[in-house]
Amino acid sequence: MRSNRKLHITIIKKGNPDSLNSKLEELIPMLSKYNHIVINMQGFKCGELLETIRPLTIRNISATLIVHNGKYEDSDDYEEKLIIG
Amino acid sequence: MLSERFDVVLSVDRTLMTNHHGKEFLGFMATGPPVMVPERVWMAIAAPKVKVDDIGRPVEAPYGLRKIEAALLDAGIKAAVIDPDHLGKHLKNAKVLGIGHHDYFALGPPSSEWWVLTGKEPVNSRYFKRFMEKPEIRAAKNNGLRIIVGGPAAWQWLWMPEYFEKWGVDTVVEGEAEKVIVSLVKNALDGKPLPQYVYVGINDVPQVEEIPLIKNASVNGLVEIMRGCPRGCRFCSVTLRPLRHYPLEMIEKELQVNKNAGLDRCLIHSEDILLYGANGIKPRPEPLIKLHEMARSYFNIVGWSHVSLSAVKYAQENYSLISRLSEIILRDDNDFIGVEVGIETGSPELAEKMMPAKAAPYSARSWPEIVRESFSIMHDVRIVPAATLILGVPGETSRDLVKTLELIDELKPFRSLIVPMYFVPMGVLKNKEWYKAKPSEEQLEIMKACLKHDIYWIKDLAKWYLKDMNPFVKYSLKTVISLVEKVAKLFRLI
Repeated sequence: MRSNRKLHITIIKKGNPDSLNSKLEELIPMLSKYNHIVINMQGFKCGELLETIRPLTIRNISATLIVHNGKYEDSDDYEEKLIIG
Repeated sequence: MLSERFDVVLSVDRTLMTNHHGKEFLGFMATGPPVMVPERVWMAIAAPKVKVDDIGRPVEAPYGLRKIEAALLDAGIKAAVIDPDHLGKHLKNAKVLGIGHHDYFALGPPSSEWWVLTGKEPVNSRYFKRFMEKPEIRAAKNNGLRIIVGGPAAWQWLWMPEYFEKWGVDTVVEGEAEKVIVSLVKNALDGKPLPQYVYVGINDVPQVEEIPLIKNASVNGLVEIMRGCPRGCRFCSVTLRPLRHYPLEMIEKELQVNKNAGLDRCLIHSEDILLYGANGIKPRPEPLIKLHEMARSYFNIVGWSHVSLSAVKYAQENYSLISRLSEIILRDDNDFIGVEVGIETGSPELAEKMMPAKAAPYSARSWPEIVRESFSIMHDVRIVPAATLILGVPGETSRDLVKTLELIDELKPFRSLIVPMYFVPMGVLKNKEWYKAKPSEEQLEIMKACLKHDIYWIKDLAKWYLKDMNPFVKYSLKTVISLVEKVAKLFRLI
């Protein structure tokens, strides 16, 4: 039985979307270590949020992704917390 | 006053809330725009209204919605599937609207292909947009209704975010939702914040014993027998899911639900029926014979959703199993069954690249031969394949397309339909005029060859397929087929 490994990522909207895209691309290989990934997106409109996370959703990652618009933490048992933006 | 109030209403537009007159293949018409007849006539053929009870609950509803309904009911949540024409009275009280769809925006195959070829928006997308604009949904949204969308086409919301904003959708759920939906809905009912997007990873898909059993009847008696597929084709998302076989007892309970609702047929569903209880990708007679005998003990009409061509060849070569199963299913010498199969390409080279295990246990290099032999086997036992081809996959060459064209020609003697699917790379969707992209000359030649093949066989098939249908639908459909043939000849397409 796999342990429940959780990762928390905060993504903050800053000026350059291309730079954010490449940071997300760099993140993808490490995501397979986790079962659950909670992402807080800060400063995004709803539509922008969906477009921004799209690279993560088309790469067949094995973890469950839960993406919130704004700050949200359901627990503090994350193995790692990252902030990108 | 309503006799029952539901906290969660599950629904979808008419293109899916229908039984297609009991003829699954007519459902394909709902993926295209109306051709040569007005939209209302097209929809009357493809997607008639379903019977509902006195408060608007459909007797038959899409299986995916039934599974979500079952998961919520099992968790003690008051939920029901409601017909789209009866939403108003229920949305006044409901706190959550759940929607599941096969193709919200007509971006999937074959809708996208019809859109490209005709330049007209298919009816599934038109009707879904009208559904979301219904005054009763808008009013409920303004009063705080939470909207959760999912189903096989959930991914499309990430490419159409403007609609997500416009209609105030709260959450997109991508993947098998039976486990995650309960906590999402509980949070919604408690007024807690919802995530905007959930992707269900492999640890959160239900184990077979966690899959809820439907509580109310599914469209045309569809029952799932397994989930996932071991073949690993590069173009297919089903293969990413773990493989799970339902035990016969679970299947029987769902057959009973449909029987008790008064349905007269069942449709056995999986990505590959013949792999039920299989040894890897090698079909085994015992579980398949038990499954079919059980289904037949409840229903006179038993249909298949999908089989793989390599499994057809293996099962027949080793056990004469296709003959044995057809003897169980077919009622008499004039009976046929239809089934979806994937040819995808006639090129061994492309088959090796994009679907190396689709031919297994045979070599991908022998793919065209497998297709020919399995079509021949099915022709002999009156199983009619409705086959798909995929055009435009990355790496496809003119040589690959010529081989596909040659294979279509070799399939002419076998009773079948062949539908080319136009692969739309997701990147193209960034361009808002993606649907104006034109197919190459070779792709067009393949489309013409398919049209010629289909018109040749469709008149023969119509005698069987339409024999029990109401006269209006039979007449309308024959008229459409005849008009398509005339126009195709006029433009020298066939």
